[in-house]
Amino acid sequence: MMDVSTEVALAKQGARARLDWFTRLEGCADAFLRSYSILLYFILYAPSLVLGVLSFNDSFTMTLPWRGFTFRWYEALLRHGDVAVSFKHSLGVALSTMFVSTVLGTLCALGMRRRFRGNNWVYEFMLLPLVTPGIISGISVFLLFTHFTIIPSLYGSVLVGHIVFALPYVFLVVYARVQALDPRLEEAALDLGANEARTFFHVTLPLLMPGVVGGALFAFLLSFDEFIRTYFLSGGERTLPMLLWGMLFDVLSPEVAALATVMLCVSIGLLLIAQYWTRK
Amino acid sequence: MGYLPWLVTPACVWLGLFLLLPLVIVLVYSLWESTITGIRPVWGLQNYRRIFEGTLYLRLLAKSLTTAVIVTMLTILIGYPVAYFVARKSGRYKAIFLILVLVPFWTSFLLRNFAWMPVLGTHGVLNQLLVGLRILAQPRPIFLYSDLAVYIGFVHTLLPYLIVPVYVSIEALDPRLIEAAKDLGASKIRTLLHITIPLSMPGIISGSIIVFVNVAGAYVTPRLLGGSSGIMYGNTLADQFGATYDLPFGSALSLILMIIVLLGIGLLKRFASVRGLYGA
Repeated sequence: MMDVSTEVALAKQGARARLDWFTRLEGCADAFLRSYSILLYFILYAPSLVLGVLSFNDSFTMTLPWRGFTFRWYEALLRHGDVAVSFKHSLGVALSTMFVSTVLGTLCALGMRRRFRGNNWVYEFMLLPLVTPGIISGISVFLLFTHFTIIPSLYGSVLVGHIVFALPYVFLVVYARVQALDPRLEEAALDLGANEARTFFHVTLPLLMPGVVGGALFAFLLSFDEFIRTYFLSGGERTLPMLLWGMLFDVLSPEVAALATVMLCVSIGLLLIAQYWTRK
Repeated sequence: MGYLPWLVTPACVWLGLFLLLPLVIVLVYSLWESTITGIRPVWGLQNYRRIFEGTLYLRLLAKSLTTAVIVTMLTILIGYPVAYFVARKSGRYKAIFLILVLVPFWTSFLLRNFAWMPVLGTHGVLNQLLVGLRILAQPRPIFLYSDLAVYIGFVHTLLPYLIVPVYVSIEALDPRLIEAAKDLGASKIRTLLHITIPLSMPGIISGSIIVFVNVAGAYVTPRLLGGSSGIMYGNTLADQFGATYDLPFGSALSLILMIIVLLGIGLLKRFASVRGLYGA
């Protein structure tokens, strides 16, 4: 019969061995999860990277094989009259969407600051555009304009549709900021003698500004890239995504890839700026 | 500050006019009839009878809904581990991983769908790769314009819409709950299944709703990647406002889609609250 101390020692050894095996298994699981996630990120980006690469291909079709590096497709974009016109249209609508939806969304977020009867209904209502499929949104507004015999136009039907689309996003971003406001700062201002208007403009608004700017940039982004609603709501004028759509049913040249790459870079650039502002 | 809640009025009026009113008009038009001379307000169910008495539209609807359910499940399976990884296991690189998953979220949906065309096409990257690796003798045109391409397109473009809400809800979990589970002796798997996943349900549900809504009402993905056999409900719906121009019939189709989407969301939310009661 072994003495107690040896038995305990052996038991501890067994326990430690089991613990090591477990820890190693967990380590393996973590490494596996890491590899899986990184692989998935790569797959998420791969097609866009392919587009980017193909836009520099000196070939007449947007396919491999690689025939050499060239900027000519980007030059062709600059010379392409339609591209400049559509870009102007997209820019104009996006800026207008940005202004209107930011004002509406910020006001709404401010109004939601304190609980009131119907508070939840307003919140759900503001999020309703998010659960409405794009085609339904586009089609229903199209019907509205058609019914009242208003001609679809860029700064009419298209703008309206874009604002409805962007509003929930602006609202959510600013609302999060509003919720995070420390009321004591405003109370301090009031205690120090400022009236409500002064407090709002000199304390509340500056504190909200990063969120508002971030929300505005998101609204711009959403409108600039928007396709499906614009498809139903536009009259004859085309935005950049609509122009791109038209090019997709012809023979694909690397010029299309170049246009896509430019749009992607603009979006990413604006997104990074918006992210910077919302994190301030 | 009794005036504060009134600040929500502009936004609500806007949505009431340009989201709700259009839907009412869709409802009204769905009960009317399209004739050679124009649209007649007959106030009858002829459009609905046409939809439910044949099999064409019901089959398309079933196809869209089944695809929506499958894609939702796929995105949850593929995306949850990534969200978990970023929220809890990414360490120093969390901010980078987060930005990297937000970029696709905010870039053009159209572009991300389109990006698959040069990858899956007959002369695309995939075929070139397979031929180069001698897996295929020649390029095959079977990848693009197929159900496979449509599924790949859906999962790829909608994955970020699931990962972000799930990330937010995992991130918001109180880490002390996980610690408590460990202290009480639960294994990692047990903690995952019984604590982490049930508590991140709100995020899973939110993400699922976004994915489901997007697939059910999809137009771009099946049109670009599906070919002639890839038609989904959204495409037929869009036709009614394009070539066919049967506004009342299109309205009926739209209304049915909207009702189903709302039912689906209601179901998902009900599922969440039941799970909440059970798991909590």
